Amino acid sequence: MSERLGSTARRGARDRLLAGDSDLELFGSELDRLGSALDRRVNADRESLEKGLAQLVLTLVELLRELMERQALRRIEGGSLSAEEVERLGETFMLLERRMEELKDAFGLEDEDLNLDLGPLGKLL
Amino acid sequence: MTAPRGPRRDAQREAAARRREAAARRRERTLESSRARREAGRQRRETNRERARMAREVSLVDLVDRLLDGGVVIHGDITLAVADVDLLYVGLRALVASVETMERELGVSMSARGPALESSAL
Amino acid sequence: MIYLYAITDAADEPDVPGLEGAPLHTIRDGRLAVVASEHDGLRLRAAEEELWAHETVVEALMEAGAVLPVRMGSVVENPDAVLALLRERGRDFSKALDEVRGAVEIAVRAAVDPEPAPRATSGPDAGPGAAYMLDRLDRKQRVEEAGARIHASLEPLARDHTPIASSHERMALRTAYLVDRELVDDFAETAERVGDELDGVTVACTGPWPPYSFAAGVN
Repeated sequence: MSERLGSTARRGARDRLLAGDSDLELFGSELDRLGSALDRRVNADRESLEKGLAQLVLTLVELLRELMERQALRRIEGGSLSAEEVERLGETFMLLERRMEELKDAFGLEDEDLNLDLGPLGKLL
Repeated sequence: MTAPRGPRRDAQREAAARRREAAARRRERTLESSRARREAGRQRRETNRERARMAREVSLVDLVDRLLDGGVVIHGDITLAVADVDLLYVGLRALVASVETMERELGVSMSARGPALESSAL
Repeated sequence: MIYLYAITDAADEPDVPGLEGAPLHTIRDGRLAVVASEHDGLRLRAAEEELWAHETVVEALMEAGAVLPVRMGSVVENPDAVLALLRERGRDFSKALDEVRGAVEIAVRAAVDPEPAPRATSGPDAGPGAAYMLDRLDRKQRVEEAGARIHASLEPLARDHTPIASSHERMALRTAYLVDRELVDDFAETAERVGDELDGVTVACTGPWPPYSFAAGVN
């Protein structure tokens, strides 16, 4: 059981955490990303520009994938898809997942770079 | 006058030596345990600093959420320079919010209608 | 240019500086007031310092009375514009102030730990695609169930709640709750407890915040 955060006096002026301090390492990357966003220094190096663009595009693709997958799952739950349709959808999503992995590899991007897998609560989006 | 000799003196000298050894061992143990305590203390302080840092960071994320997305909207001359904020973050959150609203509304109407879907409907 | 912080019905002016150290002004219309600061040409950066400076003002107001935070970056030309605003929308503002009086906002997040191996088993005839979708469905349902359980524990302790957008598939809950001040400790303890009780689920709360998420809808 983690230490209960109670009195405001113990916390710093910019600390608003009320509960959950036992798993804080999971929050780490969420803020690295915001921190760098707030203090962004433009790096005009071509390679990092490309990588930045790839990061943007892949993040958007991942976002769309999640939204579409959720919609597909709702339809499956609703029972309005045939077995064939489910199979085809699954194959498409699997293919998309593989493509994403290839693209990430090609640009040297990790899941954290796409804000995807920063641990349970490390998700900006 | 020379030092007294004899079995009693020998025994006394041995006992004194043993006491000195025991004292030395106690000092060594005390030093070790205080070193261990200091190290544990240092690690605790580091963990606490790390926790405090992360608590501040999470707080900042939630603050940004609130300041930029929440609050009464006054239509005035907005001069907030968003150049220093990750536009992707701000824009995507708006996108997510609107898509989720759309999904919710679609979801409700879809189950009500029970539509037959075309195979490549997505 | 008049930079706005919040609408309030508190009697006193808070004893904190505004952005760039500018003094705070209170522009009143009857019971209602807008707290603002005056600037010649404010170029506002959305950087940590400025955000907290703004927040400090709003929180000081929250200590003094009911407050409706204004979105950061809201600026009007002159005090007349402020008065016009109060007259035009005063009734909505008063109503909204009554709804948040004595309460604070708490942001709750909960997410499910990632799982490497698929758990759901599909029938022997199912192809790989179907197996993939069924595994995804199983995960989605577990995430939704976790969110529902946490919300069910917290909702009775809150006056109101509103979802905050999040699309991540492992995010079980991302919601703002409007909680009576006296219930804040109870609320935080409950959130902590529910997080401990649920396996593989992490819950975190931040607050108390001024009621930003409950002011956004004021027309």
